[in-house]
Amino acid sequence: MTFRLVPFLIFLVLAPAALAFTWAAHAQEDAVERGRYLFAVAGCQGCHTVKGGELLAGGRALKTPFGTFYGPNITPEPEHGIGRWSDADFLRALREGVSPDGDFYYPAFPYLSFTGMTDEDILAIKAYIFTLPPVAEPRRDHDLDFPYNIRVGLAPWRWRYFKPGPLKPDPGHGEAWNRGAYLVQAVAHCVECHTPRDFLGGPKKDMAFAGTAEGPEGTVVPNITPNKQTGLGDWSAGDFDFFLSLGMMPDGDVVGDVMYEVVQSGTSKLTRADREAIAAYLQALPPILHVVERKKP
Amino acid sequence: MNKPILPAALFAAMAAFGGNAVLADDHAAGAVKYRQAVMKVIGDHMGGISMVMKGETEVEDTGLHVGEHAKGINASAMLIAGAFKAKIDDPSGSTEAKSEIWSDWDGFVKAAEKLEATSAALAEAAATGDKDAMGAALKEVGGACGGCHKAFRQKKS
Repeated sequence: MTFRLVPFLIFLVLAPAALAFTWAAHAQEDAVERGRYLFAVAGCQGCHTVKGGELLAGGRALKTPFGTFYGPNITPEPEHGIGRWSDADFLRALREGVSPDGDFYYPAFPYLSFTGMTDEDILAIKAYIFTLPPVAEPRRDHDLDFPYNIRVGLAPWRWRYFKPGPLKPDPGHGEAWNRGAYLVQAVAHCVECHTPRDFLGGPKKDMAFAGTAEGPEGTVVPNITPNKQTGLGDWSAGDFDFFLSLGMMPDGDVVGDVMYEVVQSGTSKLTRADREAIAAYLQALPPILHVVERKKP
Repeated sequence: MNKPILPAALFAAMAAFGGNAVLADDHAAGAVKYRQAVMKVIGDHMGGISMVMKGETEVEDTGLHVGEHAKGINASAMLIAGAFKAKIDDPSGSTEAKSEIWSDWDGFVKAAEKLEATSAALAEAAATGDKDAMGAALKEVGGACGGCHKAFRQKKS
């Protein structure tokens, strides 16, 4: 009897352990896949990769009225990248805009938006990034004008503009609207380019999504509120679908500029349901009458 | 009889030179207008394709309409290089062409050839009538448009 009992006991001990192990492996795989999707929608590589350079090894210049920012290396390399970052470090960076050393990040890193993401989604992005090849590329310092080169100066700025997340679902709206709000406000951080900024570089809240002539790389960023004359008020569901998946405007023109990259590496990878959710959210925004025109040189 | 010749010659010379200047300006304006026309035709065909594929029209034979528009784009794509070859500063200032077109001429020609290839593929996909195939091929055409616009066009509005 005892001889038969021993294997049975071993089985009893090992089976749950093996199950737990495969379950953990599956959960990790799911997180990586989820992270791959969110990483694309969040457009991480846009700022953290130089044209023709190694993925996420950093260096791309972002010119702003305050100086030029260079996206740092965020490959999982321990010395120059984020290879030594814990989950808590990564969460704090995206949720609070604070580095592992306790420094404030400049809001060129769109943590005002990323703060709205859930812990689960933020860590999924980390899980995906940590599957990518590490690159030993030293970071390049930002090239900022005085007084913006003093990081501590960000404290009052943060106090004025930064509301830590995550976003809470609004029970007054349906599932699609809430998913759209989450994608537009938090993950895809559309508001960062589509909202005019005040003289301190903070977004003008009452002009959210109304467009600006002072977009990144000298682009004119359109009004995407549902105003009929100056926004997207007459866009159909099909127009949103075609624009987000192809970059094609209702008149057949195809966007170039920065938005081309956003479409190619981001919105074209959205599921159909997520494209519809974004359209639902944008169409429900308060319409703002705002003509965006290039300033005369 | 001899005297009026000088003023007449002067007048003739002025008319000729002045006329040349006007003519040169006209040519520049015409060249810019023409390349804008070539691009506009392509944009209009794209607009037609998107209307048909979105189901905004009464068209029944989607494949036929998408296919013929694609052939139109293909024909115009072959004209892009010729239309843009001469580097001309636009007298009216309406141009959205970046100087990179001429400083990276090979890159520009390659971008136009990409539109030629992708629009031909869209016409083939349309001939099968398969909407998913058309959608996938249209994505490639859109990529060709946007990629070229990104590198070589500066939107003014």
